[in-house]
Amino acid sequence: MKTTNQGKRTMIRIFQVTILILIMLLGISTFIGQHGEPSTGRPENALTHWNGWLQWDRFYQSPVHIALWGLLALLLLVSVTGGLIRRCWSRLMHLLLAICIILIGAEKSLNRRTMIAIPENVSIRLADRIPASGHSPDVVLTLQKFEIQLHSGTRTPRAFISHLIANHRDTLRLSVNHPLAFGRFRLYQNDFDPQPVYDIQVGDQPYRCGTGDTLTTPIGTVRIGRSDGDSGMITLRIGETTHKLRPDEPITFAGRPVRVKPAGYRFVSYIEVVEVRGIGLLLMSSVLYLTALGIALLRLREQAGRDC
Amino acid sequence: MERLSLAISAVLYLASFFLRYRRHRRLPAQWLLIAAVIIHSLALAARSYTAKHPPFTNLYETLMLLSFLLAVRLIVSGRRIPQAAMPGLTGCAAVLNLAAWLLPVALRTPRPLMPALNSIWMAIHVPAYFYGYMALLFAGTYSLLLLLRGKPVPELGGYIDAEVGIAFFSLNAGLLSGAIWAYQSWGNYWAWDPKETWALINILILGFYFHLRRPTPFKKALLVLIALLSVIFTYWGVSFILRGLHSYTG
Repeated sequence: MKTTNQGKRTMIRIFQVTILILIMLLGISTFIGQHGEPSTGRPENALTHWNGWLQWDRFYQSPVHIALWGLLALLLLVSVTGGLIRRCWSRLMHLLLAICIILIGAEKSLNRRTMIAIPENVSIRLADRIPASGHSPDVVLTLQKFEIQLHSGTRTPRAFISHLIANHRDTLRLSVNHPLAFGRFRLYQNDFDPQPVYDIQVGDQPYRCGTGDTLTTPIGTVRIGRSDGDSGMITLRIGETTHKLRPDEPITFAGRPVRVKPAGYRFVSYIEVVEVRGIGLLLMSSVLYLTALGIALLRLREQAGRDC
Repeated sequence: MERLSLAISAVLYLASFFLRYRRHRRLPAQWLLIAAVIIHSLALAARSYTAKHPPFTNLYETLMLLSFLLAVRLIVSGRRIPQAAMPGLTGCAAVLNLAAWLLPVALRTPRPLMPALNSIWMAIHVPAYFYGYMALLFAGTYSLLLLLRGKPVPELGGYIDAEVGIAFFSLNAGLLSGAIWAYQSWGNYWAWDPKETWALINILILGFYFHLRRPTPFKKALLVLIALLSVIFTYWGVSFILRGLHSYTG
């Protein structure tokens, strides 16, 4: 009995120290811009350029942070299995919390996310864009149209919708809060970008393409690079040669006249593809944890009432 | 309609506070509180109608929501609340309501919801958090009472425990519902956004509360006040200083 109490006291002390360190480090980390964070995030401050062995600019992926959560999960498991928690629901709640922490760690490290960009009227094969996993869905997606719905009478967006066609036959709508599922993969509407489109005339043959597209023409492969916003110059790559030309300025290549001129914009939809692994188990564990927590707190309250 | 109802309810909350503070008869103060809540609910309904969404999306709406939850709880659990805390809690509702009323126009102009906020989860996530904040305000008031008296009041310790329990459960429910919502919106249930991180810090502080060694009412009261300060920073500080995915809450 004495050993159990001493063990319990030691465990609580370690738990308290771990929690205090976590609170302190997490609190500081929120004031430091994290690696890969968009510039619209945290404001620049003295801490932004301060780094050290704790890897402040990547704190959430740092070994110290992961170790602290690991230690917390271990403490929870030891206190459950070592009989340091007597009440049944409290024991279950601590066990489920430990499982949740472990599952989150596993899910975050196994989790594979890929961002794909699909311009309007372009088809992509999903399996080609996702790193090989053996489970990639054999789906060809075409972005028929990207739509921005506005709240009536305002310029505030209400929904961002990618109108997709799967395998050239099924019409699908992908929007924020309404993901699509293909087997183990979920597709999420992430972002969009208006991209300039150009009309290219090679001899008598007209073509239309956007920045980054590759065209096969009688003079070889043609690609439009980023245009220079200030001078309005367009970068045209034919085969291995690069040309800088003004809109509608003719050049001759392989004996054929070539002209390029801007033809408005098209949307590029950014879609995040997430391979789902163990998320159902995590959801179930966290809901069960919340239920056990509620019951444990109610029991604690009843006990306190009886003691009074 | 909305502004007028809010102003009237603030005045009624203040009147109820003064009656309780002066230790006049309890009944008129309670009736004033009931009248204030009815008028306050009209203000919330008017806001929902004008904004075309539940009043959970910015500082102005959440201040209205928080004071409303607090006042409703004062009515519903009136007999189970220590009478010494009633003036302080009624005063809290009045101050929060007045703060909402006094906010500059830029912070209270209704704005249509951005696409990610168009979700049923908003109706679970935000009230869960604010119910937790409300419970922590109760616990904070009891803690202040306990510290100001300067002598241990075992009865208040029990009340603090009960409120911290409610707050802990609500904050956990808010965090879980937020994670599910984020997963549905972006396929990522946790992004270490400053607001998320501070929400987790609040839970860790309350977790610490339940694992105090030799807990005394004084230690508990002090920890509750630290948790309350952390919640205030999460609610106001993070929105204005740190920004991030939740910056629209400002």
